[in-house]
Amino acid sequence: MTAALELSGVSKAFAGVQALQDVSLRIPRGGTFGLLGPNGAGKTTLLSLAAGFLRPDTGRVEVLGAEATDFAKLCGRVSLLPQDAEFQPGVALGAQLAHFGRLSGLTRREAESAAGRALEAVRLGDVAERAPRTLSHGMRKRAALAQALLGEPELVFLDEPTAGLDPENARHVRELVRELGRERTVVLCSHNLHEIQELCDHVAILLRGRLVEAGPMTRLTADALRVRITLHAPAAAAAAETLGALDAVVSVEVASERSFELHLHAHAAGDRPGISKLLLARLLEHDWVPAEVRSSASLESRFLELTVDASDAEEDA
Amino acid sequence: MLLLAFTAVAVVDGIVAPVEALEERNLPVARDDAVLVSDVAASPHLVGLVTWATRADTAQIGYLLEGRPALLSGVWIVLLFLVPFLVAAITFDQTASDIGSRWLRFVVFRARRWSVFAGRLLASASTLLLLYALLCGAVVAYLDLRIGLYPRDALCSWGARGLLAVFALTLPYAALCAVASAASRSAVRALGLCAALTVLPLIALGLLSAGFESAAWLDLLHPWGWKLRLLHPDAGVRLGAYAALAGFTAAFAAVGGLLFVRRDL
Repeated sequence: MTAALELSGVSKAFAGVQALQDVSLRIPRGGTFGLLGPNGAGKTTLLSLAAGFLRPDTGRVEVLGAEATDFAKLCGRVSLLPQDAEFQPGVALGAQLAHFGRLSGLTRREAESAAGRALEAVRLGDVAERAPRTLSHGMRKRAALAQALLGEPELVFLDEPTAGLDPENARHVRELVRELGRERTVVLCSHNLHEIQELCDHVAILLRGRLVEAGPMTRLTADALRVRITLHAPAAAAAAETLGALDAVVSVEVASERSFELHLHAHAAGDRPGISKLLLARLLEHDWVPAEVRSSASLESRFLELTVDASDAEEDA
Repeated sequence: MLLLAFTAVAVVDGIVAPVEALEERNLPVARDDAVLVSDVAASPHLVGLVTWATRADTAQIGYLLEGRPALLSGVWIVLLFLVPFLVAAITFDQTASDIGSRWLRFVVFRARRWSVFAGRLLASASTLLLLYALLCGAVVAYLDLRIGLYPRDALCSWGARGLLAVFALTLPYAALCAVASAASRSAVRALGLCAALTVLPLIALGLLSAGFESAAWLDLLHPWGWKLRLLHPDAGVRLGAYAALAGFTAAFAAVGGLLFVRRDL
């Protein structure tokens, strides 16, 4: 079976800045695939290459088995929520969505009906007649998501679908993405680690234009632990300093100077119980008795490991 | 621009005056082409002025101002002069602001880029054609209903021919503006580029061809150099001009289309 998206040795630069460097990635069909990375990692560039907005300087981009720019083979099969595209400010939202539907090959009646359904899905059914310039940023963002829901695409690219949304609408959009992922292939691009971990079954991590990790979520998070420790005494800061010195600990956070609670990310190296024992032993050495220790698989921990590794490699170089 | 304005005023003044003279003398209003030529002759100084301003030959200017519905000829001559500026001012933003706002990102995975480019170019050209048709219709209606000097069929036929000529000169400039627009990410930049692509060659080649007798052919390297040939009495010359402008249009549209299809959006 052909991949939903396949990149082979893809590089892309803008005015001398290398946005993507020799990226090879295969995204299987079905489910939700997360593209994760900090700002400027190259996520949007990768999505733009897949959507045919950009052309790679080197390498090859294939979407559903066809060249990303092969319109004849891909028309109606792919849709996209671009990160920063704007609607025509003075044209009614419903009319614009119906226009997009017609471009996708729907009849006028089908397009108007599809536009109405898409707007309802993002809770904007009552603003179809309004011009986008009269809508808030969050409403325009949801309207852009509505245009990505038009038609019956096999593959949907979503670039930061919850960025700029209030918590309630962000939660609703995450529900939509989850439903979409059950029927189609969704490629979700975000720097929100929790969102990616919640919604995606596969993930790829980009850092400074390079692909540093890709695979099923379960594999990526198997060794990455997020540990929450609550102490009986307000010694979190001192405990954090001690535990932070351990090789397995990637990062430590304390709520405040005289806090009872600290959060840390650790690399288990195949021995999750062993890490918990090690942490506990080190705490007890200093008579810091924990009231509670909770650990969970964490994409954030894995992400921080990779980020730290990349920074170390740069410093070494 | 001053020269153009002066020419326009002179043309209209020189043509309307003989009509008034006819009415003052109570002469019958001509409805025959043969009478028309002799009765509504433009003054020699007007022909000389237009000949000097346009660098066309005297015979051609005489043909336009004496042998054809004269006021309409004046309108066409002025319009032909203004076409590059008018087209640049109206069609500079065919795609640029939609590239800048990234609205096209909603479109290009639903429609072929070639189709988007061609659609914008066609819409721009159609808008201008409508504008010219309204102007032409108003002048033809005025001449027919108020003055009644020319046979209606001759008036309409000359109006249609002039409309076609102005439109033919419009197309390469609209295509040139499409190139500028496809190369820009903002409307302002597109306007600047349109102005540069339109006006700079016009000035450079115009000056060179005017300054050196042997370099007159340089004027034919840009569409504007062909303008008066579109209204030439010789059908061969007219056809050659139409073919040249079609060639310019095709070349500019191909460059703009390739640029738009291959560019990052």
